[in-house]
Parts: sequence; C-alpha cells; structure tokens
Amino acid sequence: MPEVTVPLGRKSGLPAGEHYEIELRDLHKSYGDNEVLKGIDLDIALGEVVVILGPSGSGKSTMLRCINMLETPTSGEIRVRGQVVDSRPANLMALRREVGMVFQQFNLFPNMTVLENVAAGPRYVRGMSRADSEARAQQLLTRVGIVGKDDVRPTRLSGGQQQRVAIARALALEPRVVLFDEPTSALDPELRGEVLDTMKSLASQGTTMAVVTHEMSFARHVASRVIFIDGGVIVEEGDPAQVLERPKSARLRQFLNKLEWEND
Amino acid sequence: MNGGYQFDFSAVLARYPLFFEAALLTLEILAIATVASLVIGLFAGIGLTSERWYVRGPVRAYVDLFRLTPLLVQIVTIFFLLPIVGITVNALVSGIIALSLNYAAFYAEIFKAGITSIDRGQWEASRAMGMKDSTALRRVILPQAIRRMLPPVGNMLVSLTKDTSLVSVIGVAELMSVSQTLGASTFRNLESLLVVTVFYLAINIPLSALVSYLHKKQVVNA
Ligand SMILES: Nc1ncnc2c1ncn2[C@@H]1O[C@H](COP(=O)(O)OP(=O)(O)OP(=O)(O)O)[C@@H](O)[C@H]1O
Ligand SMILES: [Mg+2]
Repeated sequence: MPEVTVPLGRKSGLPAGEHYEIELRDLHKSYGDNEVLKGIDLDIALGEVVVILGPSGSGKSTMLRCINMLETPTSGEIRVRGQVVDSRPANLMALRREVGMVFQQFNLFPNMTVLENVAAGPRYVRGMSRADSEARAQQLLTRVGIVGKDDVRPTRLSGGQQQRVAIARALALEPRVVLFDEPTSALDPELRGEVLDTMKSLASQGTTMAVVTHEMSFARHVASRVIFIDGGVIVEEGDPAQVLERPKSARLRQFLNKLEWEND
Repeated sequence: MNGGYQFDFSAVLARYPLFFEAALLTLEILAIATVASLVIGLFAGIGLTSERWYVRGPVRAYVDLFRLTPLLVQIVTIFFLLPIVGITVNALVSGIIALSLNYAAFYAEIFKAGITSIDRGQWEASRAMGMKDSTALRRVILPQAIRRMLPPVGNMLVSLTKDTSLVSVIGVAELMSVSQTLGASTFRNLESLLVVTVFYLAINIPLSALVSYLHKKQVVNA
C-alpha cells in the first residue's frame, strides 16, 4: 500500500499513538465491469458522527458495506483501530463484533421475540448465557425506549419501533462503530422522528457512527462531519455548516437543491 | 352387476394378525426412512446452497441421480449392489436405505428452496453481528425456512407411506408383500388388496389431515 495520506476534512489530528476507529485507504469495489467505488479514503475518529450523502447509485451503501465486509473490496485497505482487516473468517468475525450495522429494512429476526433479537449477538456470537444476554438486551431496549415488548414478535411493532429494536440489537455487542444505511427511509414520515431521536441520543453519548441518510436536519445538527459521494469518489467533505451551506462543487449544489425541492 | 364375482373376506380376515404385523413393519419403514431422509436431506440441501462448486457439484449429482431415476429401479439396484460393495444387510435394511436416499434427494431440494427463500437481509444482519454462517443457518435461517417447508414435507410423508409398498419387490414382509402372499394362498387376491388399502388409508388420512392443518396455519400466519 502507498504511504498513508492525511485526508482532507479532518478537523484535528489524533493524539500520538492513537488509532482511528476506521480507516479506508484507496478502496475500490467493482461488480463485473461496473466500478462502483473508485478509490475512497476516509478516516473516522472516536466519537465522530459522519453523515454520508450522495445521489442514488453513487456507492454509499457499497462503501458502508465494505467497512464490515458484507462486500469484499476489489482493492484497498480497511483498518479498524489500526488493525488491517482481511477476509479470513476469524479476522472477519472479530471485525464484525467491533462494527454494528443498522439496515434500511431493519432485518430483525422474525423467528425470535424482540428480546431474543437483541440478545442474539451476545448469546450466539459471544457465547453469553441466556440470562445474562437477556438482561443486557433488556437494558438496551430501555435505552432505545422499547419497554414492555420483550416477548412480542418484532413484526407486531411499528416500523419506528422495529428500527429502534434493530439499533438496540446493533449495540448489544458493544461495537466501537455503528453503521446506519438509510435507517429512516423505509419509515412513514411521522415515525422517523423517534428513530432520529434515538440516534441523536447515541451520538450525544459519544457513539462513533457512520450514517447514510437524506435527513438534512440530522446532518446539520448531529453530524460532526459530512461527506458527499458521487460516482464512487468522495467529492466533498467537511463540517456540516461548510458542506451544506457553502458547497464548493456544482454537483453537491445540484444535489442539495434537488433534496430541498423534494422535501418541500 | 358385479361380473359374477362373489366377495368373500372370511379367509383373508381370519389371518388378520398378519396384516397388523405387516402394518407395524410398514410404519417402522416409514418412521426410520423419514428420519434418515430428513437428516440426509438437510445436509444435502445445505450442500446445494454452497457457494463452493466442489461441495455443490457432488451433492447435485447425488440429488439428480436419485430424483430423476425410478424409485423401483433404485430399490432393486441397491439390493443387488450392496453385497457387491461388501455391505451385507437384509432386505428390510436395504429397502430402508433405498427409500431414505431417494426421499433425501427430494428433501434436499425442499431444504434448498426453503433456505434460499429467506430474505438476504436475514443473512446480512446475522453476518453483520459476527455470526458464523453455520450459526446463522441454525439460529436464524433454518427456523424460518422449516416453517415454510412443513406443508411440502407433510406431502412427502404421505407419498412415502405409499412408496413403502415398493420394497415388497425385494421380499420385505410389509403390507403390500403380505397382501400378495395371503392373496395367493387363500385365492382371495382382491379381498386381500382391499384390506391393505384400508390399512394405507388408516395411516395416510391422519397424515394428510395434518398437512392440511399445517397449510391452513401457514396461510393464517403469513
Ligand atoms: N450486489 C451487486 N451486484 C451488482 N451491482 C451492484 C450490487 N450492489 C450494488 N450494485 C451497483 O452499485 C452501484 C452503487 O450501489 P449502492 O447501493 O452502493 O448505491 P447507493 O449510493 O447506496 O444508492 P441508493 O441511494 O439508491 O441506496 C449501483 O449502480 C448498483 O446497481
Ligand atoms: Mg443505498
């Protein structure tokens, strides 16, 4: 790999000897002839909330899914706390315990109750006892505001509740970073607020997050950094005020105008 | 208008204990072959979903060999083949092996269909939390897949009850075989066949009712 380059938008350097939570170096991903990611460099520091914006098909999900190796990059390097990630199973499992993920479609397990969903990680990945894993699950469900639903099947809950259960499930393995791929896009507008509030409270507790979303108010008020991806490269990045209020590139200006127009 | 044939069940019914013995053997074949074929079918079905060609290929070859050739041919072939490859078992065991291998091939397809019908997102959520694929399969995918597979598996059970009659050709004394022997010795073949028909119905009507129940339950819960 080439020398590590200092990325553009970093606000402050790391203390000596510290590692970034996540580092992506010259990440490429192709599906056949279709090169979706064309060299992504990105560092995410402890406690950062990075919001990723970009038009449909620009590679946002692909990038996020490369971070926890749901997609195998064609080339480039991923480090989690300085540790290079490769696709050997043991290494992969270790990585994924450090990185939680929340999906657009929730992907809760319908064969388990709400409590079992949240306990599944500790129980089946960490080998924790049923009692311990469920005690932890209960705490997490309280934290995301889902109370009294332990023995209910997740499909009986509203979309907003399901997504909050999914967030609790992602937190159950105490990941260092949580990835969100359009967590509110499958929800009716009136249910988005509760999920965004949950995410906001995670952010305020110092959870490191990478969030693909079109929720501008979340980007504006919660993000510590905003990244704009188009055509498989990072076109712009910086703090929200700068990127959202004073976009440099025509592409980002166009994208933001279109979003505003759609939201009205 | 019965063509002059006079039904007389007395000779056949006089030997009723033989029918019950044979029915027990039929049930034994049914039970063992069901368990064996489901177990083999589970692993073969998982094999069919493997991304590795050297796993999938041989399993596919086995499944197609048994799915696309007549069960009757398999029963007789296995009966003659086993001793040649140094496996000496009686006709009963040989018949159970043939039935199990045949039904496992169909169960493999059912398991495969069940596994692949589960939304990709379930795999992704499992993998994303660091589950091994084997854990995801056991804790997340199979419990959902098996629910969907219950009706087709029930249909296979009904079908297996009937197919146990085929092992009569290698001399296993199950219902069909006993009906033939008794029919021949009493000269009441038809009566004897009608009696075993009742036995097959007695096994399969409850099984079939169970299948309908599972179907209904699935529709309700869908
Ligand atoms: N498994 C796949 N196989 C082939 N092509 C894929 C696959 N996944 C994604 N792509 C392609 O990669 C490109 C980027 O997809 P990606 O899902 O990362 O975009 P996105 O920025 O998340 O878009 P959206 O806003 O619509 O979710 C698209 O052209 C898509 O068709
Ligand atoms: Mg996407």
